[in-house]
Amino acid sequence: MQIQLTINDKAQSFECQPHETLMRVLRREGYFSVRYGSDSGETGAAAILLDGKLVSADAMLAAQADGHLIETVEGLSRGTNIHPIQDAFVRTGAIQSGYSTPAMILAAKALLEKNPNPTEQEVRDAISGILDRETGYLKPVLAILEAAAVMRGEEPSEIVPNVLTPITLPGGDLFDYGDRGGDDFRSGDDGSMLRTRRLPKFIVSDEVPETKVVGKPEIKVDALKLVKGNPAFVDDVELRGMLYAALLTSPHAHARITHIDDSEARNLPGVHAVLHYQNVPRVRYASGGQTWPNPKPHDQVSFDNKVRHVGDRVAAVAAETPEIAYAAVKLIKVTYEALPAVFDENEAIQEGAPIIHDEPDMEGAYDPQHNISHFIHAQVGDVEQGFAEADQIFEQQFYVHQVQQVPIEPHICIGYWDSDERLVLRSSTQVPFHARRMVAPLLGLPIKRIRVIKPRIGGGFGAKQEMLIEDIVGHLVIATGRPVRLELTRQQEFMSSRTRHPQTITYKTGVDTNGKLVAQLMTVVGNTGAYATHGLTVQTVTGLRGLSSYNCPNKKFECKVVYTNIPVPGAYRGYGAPQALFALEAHMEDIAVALGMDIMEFKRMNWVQVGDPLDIAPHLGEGEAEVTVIPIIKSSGLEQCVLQGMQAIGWHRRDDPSWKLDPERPYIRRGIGFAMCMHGTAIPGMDMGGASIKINDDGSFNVLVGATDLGTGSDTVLAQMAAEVLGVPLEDIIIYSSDTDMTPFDTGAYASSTTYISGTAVKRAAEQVREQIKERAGLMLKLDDWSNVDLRNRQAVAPDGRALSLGAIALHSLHTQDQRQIMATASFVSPESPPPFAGQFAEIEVDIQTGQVTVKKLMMAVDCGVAINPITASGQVEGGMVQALGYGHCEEMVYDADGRMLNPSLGPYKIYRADEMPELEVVLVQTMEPSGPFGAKAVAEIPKDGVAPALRNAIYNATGVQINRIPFTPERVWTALQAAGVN
Amino acid sequence: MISQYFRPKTIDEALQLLIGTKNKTMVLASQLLPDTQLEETVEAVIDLQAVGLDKVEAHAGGLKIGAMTRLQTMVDDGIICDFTKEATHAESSSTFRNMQTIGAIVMNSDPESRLVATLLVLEAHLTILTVTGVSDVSLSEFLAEKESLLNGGILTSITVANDGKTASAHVSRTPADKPIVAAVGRQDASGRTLLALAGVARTPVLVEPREIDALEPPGDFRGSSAYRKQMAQVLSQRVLSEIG
Repeated sequence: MQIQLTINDKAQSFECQPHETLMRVLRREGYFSVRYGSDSGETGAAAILLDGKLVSADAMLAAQADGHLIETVEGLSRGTNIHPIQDAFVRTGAIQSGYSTPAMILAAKALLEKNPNPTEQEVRDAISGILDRETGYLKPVLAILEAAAVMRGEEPSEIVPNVLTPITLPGGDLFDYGDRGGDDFRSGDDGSMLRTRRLPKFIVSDEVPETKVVGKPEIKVDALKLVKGNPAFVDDVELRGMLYAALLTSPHAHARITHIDDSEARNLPGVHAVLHYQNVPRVRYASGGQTWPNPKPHDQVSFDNKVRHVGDRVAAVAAETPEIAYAAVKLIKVTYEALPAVFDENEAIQEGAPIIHDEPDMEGAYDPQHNISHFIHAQVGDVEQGFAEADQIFEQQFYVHQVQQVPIEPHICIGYWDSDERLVLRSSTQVPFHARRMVAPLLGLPIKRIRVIKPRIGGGFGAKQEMLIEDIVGHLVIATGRPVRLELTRQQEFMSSRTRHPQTITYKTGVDTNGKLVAQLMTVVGNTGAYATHGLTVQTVTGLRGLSSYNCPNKKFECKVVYTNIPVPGAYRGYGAPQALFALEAHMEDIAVALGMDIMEFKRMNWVQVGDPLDIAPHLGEGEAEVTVIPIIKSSGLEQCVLQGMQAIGWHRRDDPSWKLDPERPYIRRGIGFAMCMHGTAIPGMDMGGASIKINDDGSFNVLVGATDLGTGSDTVLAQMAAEVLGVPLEDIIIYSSDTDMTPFDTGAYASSTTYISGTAVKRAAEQVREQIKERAGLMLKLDDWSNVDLRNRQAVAPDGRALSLGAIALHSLHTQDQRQIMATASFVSPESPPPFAGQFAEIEVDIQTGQVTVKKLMMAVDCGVAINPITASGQVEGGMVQALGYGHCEEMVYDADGRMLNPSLGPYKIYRADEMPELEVVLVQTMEPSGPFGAKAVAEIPKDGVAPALRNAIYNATGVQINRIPFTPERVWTALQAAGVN
Repeated sequence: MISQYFRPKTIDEALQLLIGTKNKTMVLASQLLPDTQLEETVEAVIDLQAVGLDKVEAHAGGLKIGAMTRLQTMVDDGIICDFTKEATHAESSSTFRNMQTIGAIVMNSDPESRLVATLLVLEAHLTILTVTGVSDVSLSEFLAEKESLLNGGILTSITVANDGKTASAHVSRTPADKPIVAAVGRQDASGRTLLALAGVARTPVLVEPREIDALEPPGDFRGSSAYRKQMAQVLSQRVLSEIG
């Protein structure tokens, strides 16, 4: 059918099918800012303006738009001349991956045209249809309020860091705190406070040297293209003759496939390939994107004759259109022999439980007959002796559940043969180099015939730290000779992607008469689902984080990693630490209360401090790497983090009955909770990053890094480091990342490693380039000694004051005399993993009659060393806290008795919207980490660690009831309150 | 798969299309498509966006709301009372409020819809146009016997009260999440009290307080049957106590 659309003021006529969505037609016509998030509109990634109103283009027919006016973000700018809303998003740091940024900008446009002076809540309401897993919504709201002010004619706000005064201790007693007043406990509902709140807040360390570019709130290097909606993501390319792939997945949790009849599917016109276990070579592998050699067991093949969870792969189709591909999938006849299934990790290890990996070619599992993929054991001191000497012993069990990362951009990969007949995989991956190495043997191709390109990614959070769909796309490209595109549906993203490991965690802790820990035993049964992938390493990190935060002379970790028939857990931001810290921080809280001690005093007397060894770390190295040196903590801002948090949250109120009760609502109890957080920075001895830098004719620099920017801003902070060393502004750095043909190797985006590992590589490469520039300046200026030449303001400045522009030096080096390319490559592997620290606080209300928990405020004070870019760093914390809020409060994957997920869509699987957010506050507490580039430590994952235990402890503070299982959904809380007689 | 799309200009034309189309046909009373499964079974759609059923007007002491009135239009409307606006606002996110219509909300009658529960206490009546004429049914009756009362016709408008003393309460996982259970109450000018519950039956229902004990709510992962029943009691008490 023919439809008439006026898109961005241009009337156009389009041919479309009656069933086609508006999103599909717009993307086909080149409006790539309209992006897929789901088939039913909840993500808002495909939002456009229809007659000036925000609607989801993925949930309406193109035919319904016939005759209407459409606006997309492509219509808002011309060249670098961007709309004030776009400008505000750029300046305030409201963009992370940028996948849904165009939708937010359009939402803002619709709002501001109707209401030029909106309140904060009105802004939040306007973007309530656009889900964001990255920013916590704080900076987008700030950007819209800022844009509103500018569009009203006000001057743009100066977005500068808000430097706070460190809290010093009255009378030298850390806990003689009282009411220090402090700044805002709560922002006003009218939004005025948010706009006037300069971001981010931070505490400055005297030890940090002055810098020009590092440590400054620079604008993200990719902000302009993202804010304009430029084609930057995997799907934003057009390839002639591209086929569309679709997956057939298992309806059974556990079954043997006895036969597949694909004849009808193959005979469907438009179908080019149907692949399954009968026609794809059986090559074993482990899908976790990890350093070579991938940890065993290698328990997967591309297509198996057995399925081990609902959503497991059965077959794949490539066809001319998505509709034909989906139709062909339905025509594949699979004969299953259903097998008994087991979902609970504790049941799976019992005698007689179904054996999930009974295949004869299974390699490297610890005890597959009992579904145990790994057994992990680590000990320091003598735990039994420690318990024997303890004054009191406490033992508790905790349960943490399964959640999904929910990147708004699902997994997507487009593969094709290039002109050299090499396979190119354009993939939304966090680990392009691992993916290339891992996919090669599955496809029967040498690594050198494969190129993996990672364009912009619409979020990953660990879900894309896998070689997950690249093998399917590669097989289909080989089978058809045509370009092939495979994108997971939202349901498949839940069921056939990766998730967080559920665990049953038991802590047993002995303390002496003073409250000092003397023995701690942590026992974990980790549920790795159908395949082990990251099962070993996630659980190892659980032990490391669960037994490192507090000093204790006798520690022991025992863990069984267990196969079950749930969809596969893997890497998820935090990587075993959120599980551990939920249990640990709840356990420590309860011990303090049981001992009658102040919680902060008890934790502080036990938590690790500068100079303390992380003595269990050598016994819990990730993967197969051995760490032989006991790491020592060299920097910690934890105490200042805790003080800042106590002030910001109003800690004194937790013991004030007049605050905890609400006379107007007698069923409400208020509470405040705390969790101490310590994370790691990269995997010592294993994570490696490489960087290459070269000068251009004009004195600008190309920086090539293997590091993978997921939207975190790593390209920006790496470029800032290069700019700092080379004495140029950030705009003179052209950074290109994550292309296996073009950039140096990098392990990828995980383990909070990029700033620290890849950053050091960049810094080292830049330092080598700086030396070459200085030498060239010495040649040009006829200096006998060029060691004191300084690079600043785009110049090389000699000690005598003479200066050469970097452009002149580049031209001289490239064209004039003793020609050579000024360039250098460097790499870095760290023997250390300096921990960032944080204090996480939560204020909540509990309705004791319904069990509903309402989170009023989350506050995190973080020591991430020197934040290379305070805006991107605080954005990481804000977004991470909100993901962590979902983990503790409302997100859960729920199954029926047969292992079918009951809520594989957004809504039933609940993630927070902009209009229901608690207040967020972040303080960056600067420390100087001597091993980090410019003093930096990690910041990406620590925000995931403390929210769940802080909520739990706040509920305990509010009601006196300990709930040791998450999430804190109404019925779970109500049941616990009822059992405790609180109602 | 949808292979035909119709956009009638009048409601009569829409009715004729509905009768005349032999394919599996769906009336699109909203810009928001129903779920994908439904879409796959449908062969033709009749889009009502051009038939002009999108007005809100005063009517017999209350309101008459065209079935194609979008939720955001209701939120922005000057004559709809705040209580109804709030329930309408809470029904969906910003994008969906611009796409969903009040008619689609009624036709869908989600069991946990606070808005449908609100319409029940506002004594909503539906005007349904069929080939045989116009019928007027109460929302409560309609929810009990939707298919037979629709009788192949098209919902054209909803009349509701626009006054009274009102209150609502609900329990949900997060502040803007769909309620697990919601209670909505209204006392009209004569002192008569109406109470509706969402999340306790296959559609929102009007109940007498004494009948709550007899409810047997269907449970799901967000709330078991027993929990929902208990919440019905708790929330009803709060609402009734607030409206006196």
